[in-house]
Amino acid sequence: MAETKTYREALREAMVMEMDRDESVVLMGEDIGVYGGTHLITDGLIDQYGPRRVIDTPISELGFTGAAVGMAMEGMRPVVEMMTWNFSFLATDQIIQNAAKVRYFSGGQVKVPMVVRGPNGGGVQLSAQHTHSLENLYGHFPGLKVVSPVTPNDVKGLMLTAIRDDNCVIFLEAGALYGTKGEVEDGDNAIPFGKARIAREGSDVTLIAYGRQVNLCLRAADTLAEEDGVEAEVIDLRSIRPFDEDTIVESVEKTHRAVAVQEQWRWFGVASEVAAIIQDRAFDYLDAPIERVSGAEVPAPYARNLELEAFPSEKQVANAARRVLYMEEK
Amino acid sequence: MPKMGDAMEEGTLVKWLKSEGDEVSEGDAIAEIETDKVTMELEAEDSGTLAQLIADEGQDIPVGEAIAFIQGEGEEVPERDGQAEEAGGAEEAEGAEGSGEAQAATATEAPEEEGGAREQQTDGRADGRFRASPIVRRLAQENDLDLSRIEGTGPAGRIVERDVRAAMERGDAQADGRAAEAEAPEAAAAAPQPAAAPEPTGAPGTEIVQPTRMLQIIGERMTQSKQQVPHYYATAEVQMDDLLALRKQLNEQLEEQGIKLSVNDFVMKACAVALEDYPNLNALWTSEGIELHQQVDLAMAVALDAGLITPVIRDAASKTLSAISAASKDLAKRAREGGLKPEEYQGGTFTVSNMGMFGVESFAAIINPPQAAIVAVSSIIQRAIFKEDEVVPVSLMKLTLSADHRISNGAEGAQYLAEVKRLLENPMILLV
Repeated sequence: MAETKTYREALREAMVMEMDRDESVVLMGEDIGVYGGTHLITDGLIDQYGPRRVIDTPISELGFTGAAVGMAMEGMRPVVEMMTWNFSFLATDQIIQNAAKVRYFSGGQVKVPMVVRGPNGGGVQLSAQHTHSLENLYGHFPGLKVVSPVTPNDVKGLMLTAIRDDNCVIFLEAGALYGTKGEVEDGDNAIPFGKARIAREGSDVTLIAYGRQVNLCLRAADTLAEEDGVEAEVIDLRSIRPFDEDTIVESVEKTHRAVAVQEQWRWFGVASEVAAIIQDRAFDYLDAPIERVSGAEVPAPYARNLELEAFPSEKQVANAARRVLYMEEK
Repeated sequence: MPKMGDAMEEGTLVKWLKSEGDEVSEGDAIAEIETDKVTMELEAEDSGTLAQLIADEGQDIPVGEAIAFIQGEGEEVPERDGQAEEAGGAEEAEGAEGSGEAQAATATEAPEEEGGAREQQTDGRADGRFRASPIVRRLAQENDLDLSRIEGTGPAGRIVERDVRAAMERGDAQADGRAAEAEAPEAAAAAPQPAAAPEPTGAPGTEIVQPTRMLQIIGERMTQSKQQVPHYYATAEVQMDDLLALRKQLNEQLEEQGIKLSVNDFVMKACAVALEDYPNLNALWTSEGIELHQQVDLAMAVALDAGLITPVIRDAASKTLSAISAASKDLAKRAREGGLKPEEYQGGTFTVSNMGMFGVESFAAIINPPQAAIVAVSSIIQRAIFKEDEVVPVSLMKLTLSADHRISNGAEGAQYLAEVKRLLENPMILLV
């Protein structure tokens, strides 16, 4: 059975399910309790679970993230909200130096089962300091798991898996999509990490993305089908670390062409990693160099027209697909 | 690096005979080059100053790459990269002529080398002289396409998948189709490529059947062998009377034990024993050289309804006649029933093919690669021969050796056959 829900509702549902199932699960963050959360993800939960399990924290990312690391080491399962991932820069010392490494340092004796979650990426005119896509930053560090769901069903399923995981999970939500709706499976739909989703099947070119850019790719795929008679396959990575190489490789072995799309900047990004994996494992199947579509190499602009220019567009994705197909750009 | 034979893909610069800065005239020997076949002196193609030695001694250099720059009057020494390009281009522009000359210089090898001519050409062009995407190269290899016949529509003329698909649909890019037009006619005559088969006649009383998988594989391997392995043949006539008498006597004695030796058992034993002194014929042609085998793993050709197979009698030289007889009967029986395991028909080092039961006077077999040789056994036929002015009847059997000239030469093959003949004409030796 499935029901139509918003991304926000699906996310909340997963946290509620786990709080009901496991009392070591607690929520922490700025304004998540009484105020209901800046993005209303935790709206109403303090009434349901009380202030001991839905904890309003001071405005101190380093402090409360460090507290969460300690709680996790002691056996609790904190789910920490970053009001936006931009504020996580203040907490990176705790995330990278402790959460990612304590299990390693202790030879596996001490685990850090915590989730750090919040809206990631741009698209809603928050300007340069509040617009970052951090999957490549966190994806870089062994010891962290990084996921970036785009559909309501996936955000629920991946959150269930994230809370149950014994490691620190970086949970990057598509902030611009909290209000979008989709079918969400009832009950426990936990989705394993490291398994990509084929969002659209196609035979001519593979578009690879994650998070908000998946929707962009789907729209570009529709355009390509209508205007160019090209059937694009769209792969939603869902999980950045661990990474599902096989699904990409199998798709490219079928389509012979690939376009990797990311909102973040081009250099040292996830799309570069995708391209490297494809050339490594599917080189003999390629008909064209792999294209990357990325954000413009500038701090994110505030003005709407410039912001739109700075992020990958449907047109850029469609044209990249046309280039790898050796077709005229439009 | 000039192409000194069509099979040549690279050459080793053994030694520079001139130094940088030397004046050289066209035709002067400037370096010693070693290929897999010959060592020869490389002559200057032009006169001038040997301005730059690009290759080092001992270096393997692909055909077409620059090894040195001879500076003519008023010329400048180009930058390294550009230079390699230019020299490569010049080599290519000279094309067939250049390689023709080089081939003449190694005249003894020429006939067998020409066999590979067109194929090398095709492969050569696929190795980077024009642009093609990886999937295109893969498709070309899988479908035996000649990329030089396909026009690229990608950037800078890159051949992309759609170009290949279109060519495959039109059916005009098959590697074997280009033989007639592009290449020198004498080369084509010397080594006919598998020509595109003609359309069926559709005449009344005909039907089309598809070759079985086994036939296809045999066809491919035999085609490859005939085209790529330089066969030579030698035939000997063996007087079989003593052997037939011995066999009759043995079989009478052995009847109770249920053993019945065939003529072929003796022939196989003799062929295996004789190989001891001719290791080149009990050998495999491998990527790393000629692999000489001490043990004779004797493959015997067995005709099947669906084709043929060559099960292997291991260490045949050390086996007794009765053991060979038992093994060959068992293998042949199971081969016909389709009950052989792969390890029972793989790994032979030498093959015997017997068509004596079909009344053939003589035949020559195709070498079973990578083996070096095969012996074709024909029927025993009664003939009248002169023995000291008297006409006497004898039983004669012809053996024809086919051997790989890359591994063994004719004199060796002849001596080997003489040894087999000696053993078969003095068959008691085979019992000890």
